[in-house]
Amino acid sequence: MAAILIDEYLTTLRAEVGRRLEVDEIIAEVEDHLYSTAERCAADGVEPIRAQQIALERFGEPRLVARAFSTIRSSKGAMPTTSTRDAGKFALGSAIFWLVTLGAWWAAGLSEPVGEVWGQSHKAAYIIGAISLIGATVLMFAAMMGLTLRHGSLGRLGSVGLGLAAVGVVGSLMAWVFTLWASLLLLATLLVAIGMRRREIAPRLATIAFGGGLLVGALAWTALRLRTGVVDLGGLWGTDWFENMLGLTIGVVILVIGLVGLGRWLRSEEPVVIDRSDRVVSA
Amino acid sequence: MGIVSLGMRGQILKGHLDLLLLATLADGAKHGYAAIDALRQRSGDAFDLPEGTVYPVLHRLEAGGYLSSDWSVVQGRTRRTYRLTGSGRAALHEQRRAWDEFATAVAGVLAEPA
Repeated sequence: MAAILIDEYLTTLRAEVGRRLEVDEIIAEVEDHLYSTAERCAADGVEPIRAQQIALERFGEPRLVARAFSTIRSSKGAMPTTSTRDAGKFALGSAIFWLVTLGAWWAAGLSEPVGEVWGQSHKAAYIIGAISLIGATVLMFAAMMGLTLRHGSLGRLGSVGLGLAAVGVVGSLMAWVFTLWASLLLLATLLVAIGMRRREIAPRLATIAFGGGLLVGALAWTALRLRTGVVDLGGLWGTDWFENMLGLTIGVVILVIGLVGLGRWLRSEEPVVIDRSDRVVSA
Repeated sequence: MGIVSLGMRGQILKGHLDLLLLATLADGAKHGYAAIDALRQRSGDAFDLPEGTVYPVLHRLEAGGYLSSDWSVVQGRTRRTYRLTGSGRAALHEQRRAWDEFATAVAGVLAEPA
């Protein structure tokens, strides 16, 4: 159907709505509505031009509609975009780096008698783990940015979580002070996951695993340390490195399950592309 | 019905639009056109706002966490579909309860004296 009247309306509405973050999404949504109305009228036997007129009359004057939009805060809605699949790659890549970190540090801890963790034979394994940790945290942060974009917004909690994740990336440069970066990332993933669950878009189990993994690991670590009677909030190594690594492993394995689930979901998303003109481009 | 009554009805409708939209989405996800159409049909054409003014309400409900939306491509057009979140269902339940209490109270006041 040639939709001259609808196209003219959308052009006027775009001008009236002005500089809102989501102006393209508003126009696309309105276009879908107007075409749906006109098509319904046409199916009832109304002449096409008259059908468009009815659609526009029922929708309201552009200035009235724009004024209604001006009463709410401008914000981006949830939409899979071309960056969504990249976020999936980052999540999956992060999962791999986390597993490499765990493997390297277990190798470092098990290859020398307890107390000799700085011996030459496993220093390389520790360094590999430390570098891999940086990769894991950087990619996880990038994945979290992508998840935020996918959801449009994760609210205040999600924003705080993202901030903590950024600090956690910096903290991971000091791999030996694992309580520091692990705590930051625990809070970061928890808050981002809470923001995601509120939107109810991402897969539920993957989100819970992502947000709760490090928390479960911390609880396990606490229980193990209380059993030994030693609560040292400092480094990863020392005589209690086994309890530290066990707690970290439990947490990271659950986190990895979450990252893989979210990564696969993001990779499966079809990007929706909205042309900036008033004609829609399909995905 | 006079102009004053029509104006009052419009104001009453605006004041309860959140509740009405949440209720139309209670039986499943819908895009904006379908939600507005359901509102009109279920009200017996009593509620007939300019349709364009409903979309900001949907966006506000989504920003408040009561709805979530997602996009798809249907017949070459991008379509935004809304559904209730857990918070939305809880809010709908609470608002329904509040409305029932209000309606009962109003009915009591308006009842003809015995």
